[in-house]
Amino acid sequence: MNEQPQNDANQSSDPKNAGIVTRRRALMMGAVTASAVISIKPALAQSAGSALNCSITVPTRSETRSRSVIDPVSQQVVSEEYSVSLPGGTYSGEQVRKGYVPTDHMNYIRGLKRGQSGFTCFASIVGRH
Amino acid sequence: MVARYQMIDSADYKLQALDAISILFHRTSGTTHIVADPMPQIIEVMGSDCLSAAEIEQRLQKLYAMELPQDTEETETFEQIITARLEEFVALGLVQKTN
Repeated sequence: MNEQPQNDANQSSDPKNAGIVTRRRALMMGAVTASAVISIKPALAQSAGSALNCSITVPTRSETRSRSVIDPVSQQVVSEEYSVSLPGGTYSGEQVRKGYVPTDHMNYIRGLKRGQSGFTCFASIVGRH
Repeated sequence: MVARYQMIDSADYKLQALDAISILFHRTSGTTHIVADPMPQIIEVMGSDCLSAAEIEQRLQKLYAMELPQDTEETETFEQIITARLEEFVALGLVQKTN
């Protein structure tokens, strides 16, 4: 049984408004097979735990410093260079968040740039992306 | 027994009409649905009532001049189209169905 589309003119039944025609808005019904909804599911939400489970590794670095020494041969004060090893360390996001990180390493972590290892972990802790 | 349909609790979703479409955010699932005609209008006339497709069609007729697209199969009725749309929503968890 086919239903004919209704014409859009409706006569108002109120005697005061007799003669005034109210038009119903047209509504396209679509076909039976025409879907009318698209669903967008949320991306896998990053749980509060996962950000803090990531880790940041501060690499061991060596630094060249100079100091004054007395040359044994000439008995003069000279400066010599020597190498210092700055040990690195690995911290969990939780440790960084709570501040359980020595200052030197914390400065290194704060200076991380996108592309460097540990940047994403740190950014997710402080909320910067 | 004729099938009856009811929208989920109004507190569980937010329906926002835009110009050509509506956005329905389903709080329980966190899913956002982009909803096109005639679904926003069907949701509107259903309210929180439990209705058959035929009853929904009657309510729509009072407010809207329903039209079929030009290339539709001649055998499709408004009731069939409304049923198809409601079944879609049942599958998405937005409408409850009782037989």
